[in-house]
Amino acid sequence: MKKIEIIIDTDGNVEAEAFGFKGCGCTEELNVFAEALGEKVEVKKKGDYFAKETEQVKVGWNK
Amino acid sequence: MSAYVKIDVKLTDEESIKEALKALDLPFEEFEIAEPLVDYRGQRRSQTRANIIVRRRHLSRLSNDMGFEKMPDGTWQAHVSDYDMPPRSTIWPRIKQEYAAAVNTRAARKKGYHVTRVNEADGKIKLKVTGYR
Repeated sequence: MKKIEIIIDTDGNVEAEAFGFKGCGCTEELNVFAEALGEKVEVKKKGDYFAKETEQVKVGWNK
Repeated sequence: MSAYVKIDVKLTDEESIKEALKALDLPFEEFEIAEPLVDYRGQRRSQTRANIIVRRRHLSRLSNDMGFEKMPDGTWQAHVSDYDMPPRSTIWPRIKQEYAAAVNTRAARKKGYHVTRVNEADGKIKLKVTGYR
């Protein structure tokens, strides 16, 4: 099942991770949340990105 | 001595700001034209204005009013006194946290997705977004 999990820590920093998407298909979905936060996004693809069809992206306030 | 700090966090969604304040049981007042904030001594600060204001009585004894000012570009500028910032208070980080939760929830629901919120034991908020095809 495709899903995205968003973790917001107690300082307001946000991390989002996508599961079950094929290849880079999740980038577009993750960007929905990055754009909502008005932040530039750095995409960090996992080593097993293509094998497990997951992608991780960090967004948000790191101050 | 209490001072205001301008916050660089990019607040772009008015409704999410209000949702964040409601989530933390912080009553607020709204103004079409930005109003001066009041400092901890009860003095109006004409140079520091806001359209959404949390009065200092809802914060701490040494707090100034907290305000959110609508900027010409449509973003919102937060005005927060240093008494409401770490290490003295966790209220500002909690507002940022609730804002992020609200703005992400609204973004997902706008696309027709389902959002489940879990409040973790360590204080983090987890949003599970499902409904993708």
